[in-house]
Amino acid sequence: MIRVLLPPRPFVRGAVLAIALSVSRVAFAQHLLIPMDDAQRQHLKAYGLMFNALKEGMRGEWLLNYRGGAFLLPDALDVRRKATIDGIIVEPLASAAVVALRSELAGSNMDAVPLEKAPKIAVYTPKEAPPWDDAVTLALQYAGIGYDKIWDEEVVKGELTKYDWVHLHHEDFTGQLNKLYLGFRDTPWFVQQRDQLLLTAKQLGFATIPMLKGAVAEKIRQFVERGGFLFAMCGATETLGLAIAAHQTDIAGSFADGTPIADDVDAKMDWERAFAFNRAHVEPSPFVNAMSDIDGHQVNVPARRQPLGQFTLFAFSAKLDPVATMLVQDHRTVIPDFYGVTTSFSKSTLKSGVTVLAYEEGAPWVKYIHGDYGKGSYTFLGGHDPEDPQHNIGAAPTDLSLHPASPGYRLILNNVLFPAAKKKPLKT
Amino acid sequence: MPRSSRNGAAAAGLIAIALSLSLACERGKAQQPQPTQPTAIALTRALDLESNGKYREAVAAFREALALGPLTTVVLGLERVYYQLGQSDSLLPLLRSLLAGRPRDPTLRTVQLRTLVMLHRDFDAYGTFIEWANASPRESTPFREYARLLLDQNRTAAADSVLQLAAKQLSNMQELAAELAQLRAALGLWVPSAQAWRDALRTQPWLDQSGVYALLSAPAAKRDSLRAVLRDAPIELGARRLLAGLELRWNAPAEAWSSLRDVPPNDSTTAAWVEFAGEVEGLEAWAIARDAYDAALQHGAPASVRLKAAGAALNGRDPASAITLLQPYGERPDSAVRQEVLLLRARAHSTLGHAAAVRGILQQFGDELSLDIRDEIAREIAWAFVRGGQLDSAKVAIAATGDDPRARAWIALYEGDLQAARNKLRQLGETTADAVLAQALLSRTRAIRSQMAGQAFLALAQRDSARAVDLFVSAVGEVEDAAPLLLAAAARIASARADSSGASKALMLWERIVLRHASAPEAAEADLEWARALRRTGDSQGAIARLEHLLLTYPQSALAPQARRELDLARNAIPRAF
Repeated sequence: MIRVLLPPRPFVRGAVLAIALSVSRVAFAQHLLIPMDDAQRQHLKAYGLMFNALKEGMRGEWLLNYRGGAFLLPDALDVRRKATIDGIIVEPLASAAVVALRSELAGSNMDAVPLEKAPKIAVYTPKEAPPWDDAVTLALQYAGIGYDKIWDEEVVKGELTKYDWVHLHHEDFTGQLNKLYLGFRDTPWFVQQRDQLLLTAKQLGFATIPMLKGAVAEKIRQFVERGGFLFAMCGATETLGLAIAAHQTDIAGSFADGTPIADDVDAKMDWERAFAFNRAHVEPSPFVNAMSDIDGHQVNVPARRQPLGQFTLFAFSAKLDPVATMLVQDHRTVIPDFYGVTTSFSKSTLKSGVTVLAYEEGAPWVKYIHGDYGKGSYTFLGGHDPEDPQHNIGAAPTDLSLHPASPGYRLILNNVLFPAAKKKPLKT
Repeated sequence: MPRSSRNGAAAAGLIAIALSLSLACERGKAQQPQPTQPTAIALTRALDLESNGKYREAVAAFREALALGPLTTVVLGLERVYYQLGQSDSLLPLLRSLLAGRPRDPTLRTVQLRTLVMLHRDFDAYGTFIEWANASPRESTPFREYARLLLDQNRTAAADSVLQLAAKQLSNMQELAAELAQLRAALGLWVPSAQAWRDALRTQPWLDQSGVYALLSAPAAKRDSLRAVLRDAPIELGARRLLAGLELRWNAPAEAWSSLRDVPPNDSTTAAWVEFAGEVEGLEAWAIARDAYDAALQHGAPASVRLKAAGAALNGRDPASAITLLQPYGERPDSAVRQEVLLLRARAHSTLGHAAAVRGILQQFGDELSLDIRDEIAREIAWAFVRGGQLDSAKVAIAATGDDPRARAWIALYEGDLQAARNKLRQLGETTADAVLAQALLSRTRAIRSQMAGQAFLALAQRDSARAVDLFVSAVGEVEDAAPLLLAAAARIASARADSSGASKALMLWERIVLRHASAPEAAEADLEWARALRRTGDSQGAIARLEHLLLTYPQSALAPQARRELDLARNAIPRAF
């Protein structure tokens, strides 16, 4: 949708609009700016527009810290067409305006990062799972960004190497099915899920679900180590770390694998191999619905549960730290918090060197973290669904057409786009 | 994943629970001494302080009242004010001392249990429950209260354990049937839950709405199984009321009535039918309301129900049934209901175009009717002629009964005199669907006369929608400057018809507007409706093409947001509403 300044009288306004629209089809500017501040009405769809333009061979730029993290694309009929269909605001820019824009970027804490190639995306989720129970697939689906589904079989067979970017959501990599056994042991969906996982484990040569998930976690670790981008949310963040660190010990309760958790389990964890966490205390009780003390909010343990607050995005130097800056591009800097199986990350369990992207003022936890691992990198965002703060099992799925400018969902889509950035040598 | 509770909502819930508890514990209350005057004064003062938000003073006042009189109200009051102060734990020592003298008191025990659960002292709560169950062997109350608290916290497995324990210790689980039903629903065991609700409703019929609420979220794939359980022989009113409630909330009023009408009639059944009819009237399912009222009438419902039944029939555009329903009032209805009955009869005959019958009512009873009713019936004579297609007679009837600007305006339109109708209809300010359409046409065209357009509106008034569609399309030849408006009117009427020929005719008309009248105000609507029609037939790609065409051609249309939502649905970019 093209923004045009309109004169006040309706007839004249209509005529000008008609002319502007017809001219817009033939008279192109050199560039199209996609603002991502409050002038935009379809922030989430804008990511899809950018991603698909890259996929079709166009090159663009991400204007960090400029108008909420705007995008710049060469002017093209197809881009305009898609923007109009999806209601995305685009602003034609002539060459002189682009020169002025670059001058403004040069003189402030802003930068233009070239975006070259759309990453190949995989989401770790069961094949038959609808997209509505995972915030990332919800966002990808809404923005029109294509992705492949991969599940245990593909991961164990080494198919992660086909992808640049992998997303994990609320999977429990300790193989304890998020300890939902406590409350849902007899529910049909739980029984079906457990039986299906057990069948997959047997088919792939693993005796138990924890063993299967442990092997999957190791493959994911290797994917990042060899240069992959990993994004995880909710319980996947915490349990992936636990599963990787527990490669030589048993942290699953007997209800999950038939054997009790190992004695003195904390001492047997190998945190050297984990991504972001260190020296966490594994929750040994099968009756306490928590995995460890990594999560600061402990939503499923009534006596420990912490209330939701709001988290603040850090401001980074666009020129010195472009990756972190890309990950926090948003039109809001303070965002209401939302629960998940893992809602936040206790500061006391973070490794040194982890970059904190978002924090809650005065709280002993942080919300959003990033780090390098081997040749790749990982980003973890706590919580389940930014627009469903409480998220109960069985709740209606989030309809993103009601939240087209969701600041929380933007954080997810920043992660989808940042692997498209051309790597610049770091200046520090 | 549990929700965090908000203070206000939690307090309200607490008070609601407390109040329901005080009702439920009649036995306990019966053992309480009656309040003496000083006690009543102290209690009133405490309640006043509480309602004014002076919780600390209220604690002192409640404690003063406790020393004087009735236990239940005071303990529940203390529970509320301590909660407001965030000092619920202060209640526990007091409860312990009171329980020493009354170890089986259900109110004291429940408050103790509730407080412990709220404070997350789960092990103490479990100990209290065991202590209570031991003190009250063979009683279901401890199991029920503890299970309810656990269910409220979504701790379904723990609640299940409590109910399993109850099954071992109690000889009869009937008193816990509702809790068992709720537990099963919370576990997603929909069919066993429906069975348990059926059992519970035999002895606690007032719980039908709780059952509806519990089973409401059963997935669509399970609904037939629930129907089978609740419809199974023997036919029971409780189970059928539960099923009817579910069907109504699943947007299936006809199925709701079908589940209820088979119940053997008696006083309770008749009352249930009348109540159901009232409920479906709220949903404007008039024909079903009429049937339910009628069934109740045939089995002893009061005579007042007959008027409701006739009213529902008229609203459901079934004047013949209304006349039949009113027949038992006889030629000369009882004076108490005479005016209402005669007015309903006049409306029914008018809708059928029976002008002579309406006139007969007026001639026979005119002197006995109030002025308002008499005028209204007189106007119905003219409308009866209109609906019978006798416009000249209608004009004579108007002249005989004094002026009726509304009827004159519409008759002008029906006669095709657009010029006269334009002036007269504008002055009426009428906002019915027909009037809005007529005014839109008259403001759009410069034509002075159009026989076809007039006939089309007359067909609408006569409820002949098939003829109206054809006439609106034919009128395009006479009123070319409003052609897209007439075609859109015809398409809307055709698509509202239930038959498939209506849908295909509508699709053809929308297509004609888009292709031949692309610059008309109706074109965007036509594109949107065309896309919707394609989606209904499962042609998502076709729908996407239409919606993209709409958004690209009419980007400023007020329908653009609706089109984008439809586009998201067609692309499977957002979940369908559940």
